[in-house]
Amino acid sequence: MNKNFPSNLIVGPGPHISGAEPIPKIMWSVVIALVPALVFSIANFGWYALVVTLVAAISSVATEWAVQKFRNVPVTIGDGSAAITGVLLAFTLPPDIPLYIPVIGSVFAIGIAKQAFGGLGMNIWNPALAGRAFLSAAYSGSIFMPKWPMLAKIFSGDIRSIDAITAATPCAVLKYAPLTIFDHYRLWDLFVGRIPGCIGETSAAALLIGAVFLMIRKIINWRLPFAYVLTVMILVVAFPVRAADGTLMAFWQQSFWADPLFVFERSLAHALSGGLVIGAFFMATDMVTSPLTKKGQVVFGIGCGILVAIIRLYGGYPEGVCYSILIMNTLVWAIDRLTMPGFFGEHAHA
Amino acid sequence: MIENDRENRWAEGVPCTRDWQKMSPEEIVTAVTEAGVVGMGGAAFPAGVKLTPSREKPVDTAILNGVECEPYLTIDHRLMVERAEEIIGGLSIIVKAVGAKRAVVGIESNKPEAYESMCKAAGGKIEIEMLDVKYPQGAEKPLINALTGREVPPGKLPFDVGVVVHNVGTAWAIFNAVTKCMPLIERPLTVSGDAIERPANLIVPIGTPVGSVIEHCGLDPKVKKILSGGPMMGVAIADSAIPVVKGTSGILALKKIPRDISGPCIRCGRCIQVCPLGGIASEMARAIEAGALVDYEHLHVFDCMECGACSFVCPAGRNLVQYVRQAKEEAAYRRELHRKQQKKP
Repeated sequence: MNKNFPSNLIVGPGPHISGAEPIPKIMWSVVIALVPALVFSIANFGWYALVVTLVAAISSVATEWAVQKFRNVPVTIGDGSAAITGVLLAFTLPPDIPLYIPVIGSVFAIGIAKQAFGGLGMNIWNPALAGRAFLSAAYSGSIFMPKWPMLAKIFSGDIRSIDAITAATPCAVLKYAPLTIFDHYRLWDLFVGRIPGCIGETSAAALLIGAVFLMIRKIINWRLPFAYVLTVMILVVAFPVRAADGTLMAFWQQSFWADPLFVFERSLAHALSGGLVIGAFFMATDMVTSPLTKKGQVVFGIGCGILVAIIRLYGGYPEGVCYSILIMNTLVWAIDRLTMPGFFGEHAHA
Repeated sequence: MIENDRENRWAEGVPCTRDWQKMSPEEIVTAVTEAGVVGMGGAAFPAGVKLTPSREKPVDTAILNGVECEPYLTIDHRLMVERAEEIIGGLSIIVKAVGAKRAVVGIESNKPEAYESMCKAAGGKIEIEMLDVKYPQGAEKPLINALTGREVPPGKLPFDVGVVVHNVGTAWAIFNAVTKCMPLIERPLTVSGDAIERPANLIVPIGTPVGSVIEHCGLDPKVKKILSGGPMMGVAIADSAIPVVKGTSGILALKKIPRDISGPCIRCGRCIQVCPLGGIASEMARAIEAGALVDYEHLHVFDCMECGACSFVCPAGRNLVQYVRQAKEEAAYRRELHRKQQKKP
C-alpha cells in the first residue's frame, strides 16, 4: 500500500541539522562586548566619545551599503561586521578628534581595507586597524597629539587637558622615562582607565568584562590574547633599555633585580597601557584576519607581542599595537600553512 | 515468477539451534554470509568479509560500536538495553571467527542505561568502555583511535591496524544467524524527528515501504524533510514507496530545518577543529568556490567520510560536505583523464 508523502518535501544534500551560531549573532555579540568600554569612555571623556563612536559606526555601515550597491552584490550591513569596524576604529582615536576624521577613516577601513578585497572574509588586514593606520599617516597631527584631554571628574562634563604638567600618556612615559611611570600613574588607574588615551582603549577593566563575555561564548579563543599579552610582559622587561640618564637597564645586571616587584609592576604597567588590551582581545582576535588553528593563533600572538615590545622600546612610536597586528596579519597565510593539523593517520605506524 | 503466499511461515530448517562454540571460524563465516548479514550501522558492508582477515594482517582487537553518534537515533541504545546478551553473544562469535585477543564495546556517556545493561551481560574478558560524547566518534576510524589509540592511515582499513569493528546491531544479527540460522530479514531502526507523532524504535521487515513505517508512527503534515538514516549523513527522500533496506538505521521526519543561506567564509576555523580527520574543509571549499582547485590529492579529498561535522558548525551556513563531494567527483574525473592520457602511446 502506498501512502503518499506531502508533495512539497525538500530533497537536498545533508547534513540536515545545524548547530552553528550564525554570523550576525557572532558579530553583534562583539558589539555588545564593547559596550562596557563605551560606557566607561563616556564617563572618562564625555558625551563626545559617544558621538565619535556613533559617527564612525554609521559611516562604516553607510560605506558598506554604498560599496555593495555599487558592486551589485547583496547588501549585508545587517550582519554587524561593518558596525564593529566602526566602533573599533573610533576606540583607537583621541577623544577630541574632529568628526570628519572618523568618517574618512571608516570609508577607508570598509571601502578599501574590506570591500576592495572582496568583502567579509576576504580581507587580509584588520579593517579597523588599517583605517587607523591610514589616519595616522593622513592626519598624524590629529592622531598623535601633544595634549590629551580627560574629564576632570567622571561624568562631570568638565573637560580639561593633561598637558605640560604630566605631558604624556602612560605609553609615552614608559617609553621615555620608564622608571618614573608610577610617579605619574598608579597601576590601579591604568587598570580602571581613569587616564588619558584613546577613546576605547584606556580601561582594561571595562574591556576585559567584554572579553570574558566573548570567551565564555567561545567567540574568541583565550590562547591568542594571552600569548600576546604574556609575550609583551616578558619582553618589555627582558629587552635592555636605556634610562633617561643614559644608563643601561638589563636583566643580566644585578641592580635590575634589586626590586623584583618593581620589575613585575613595570611589566604589568606595559600590559595595561596603550591599546594592548583592546588590541589583544578585540583586534588580533578578528576571525577573518587571524590564523585558522589554535596553534597558529598562539604563534600569531607571540609574533605580535615581539613586535609590540620592539616598537615600544626601540621604535619611533610610543605605541606599537596597531602596527604589530597589521604586520602579523600579513603573515597569517604562512602561519596557516605551517600549523595545519596533520591528517589523521599520516604519521601512523601501521 | 515468485508469488507471495502471505502465510508468513518459516522456511525449513529455520529457526534452528546451533552451538557456536562447537563451530569453526570457517563455519561461522559461512553461516553469517549465507544469512546475508551486512553492517547494520548504515554502511551495509558484508559482515562475512569483515570476519575473514588475511593471514598477513592478523586481528588482535574486536570492537563493537555502541556509540550511536547521530542525533535522533536511539536504536543501538535500545538494542543494548533489551538484547544485551545476544549482542555480547555476537561479540564472542566475532572474537572466535577472527581470533582476536581483546574484545571491547564502545558506548558514549549519554547512554548510561545501555552501559549498565551491557556491563551486566558481559563479564570476563569483554570490556565495556564509556566514551565522551563526541561526533563523529561512531565512525570507525575515530572510534578505533578512541579505544585503542591506533590511527588507520588514509586509504587503509581497520584490518591494517589489527582491528575489526562491527555495529552492535550487526553483532545481534550475527548471533541470530549463527545460533538460530536466522537470515537477515528484519532490522531494528529508529523512527523519530519533530514531525513524527509517536516516535519509536521498531524492528521492521526489510522491504517494508517507508511510508508504512511512518504511517504507523504518525506524520505531521507540516513536515519539510523525510530522511533515511540519521540527520547528519542520512539521505532526504520524497517517495513513500522507498523500502526499508538492510542499511536503514533510521527514518526521520523533520519540520524545522536550518535556513538555506550560504554566506562567505569568515575563517573562524571551527570546521577544522571539529573534523575527525584533521581535514581542511575551509581551504577546500574556498578553492572549489573560486574554481581554483587543481591539486586535490594533498587535500585528502578522498578520505573525507562526509560526516558533516564541518557543515554543522559553520557560522556562514556553508554546506562544506557538498563542496567536498564536488571535489571528489572532479578529482575522480581528472584521475580518469590522467589515466587515459597515460595509456596513449
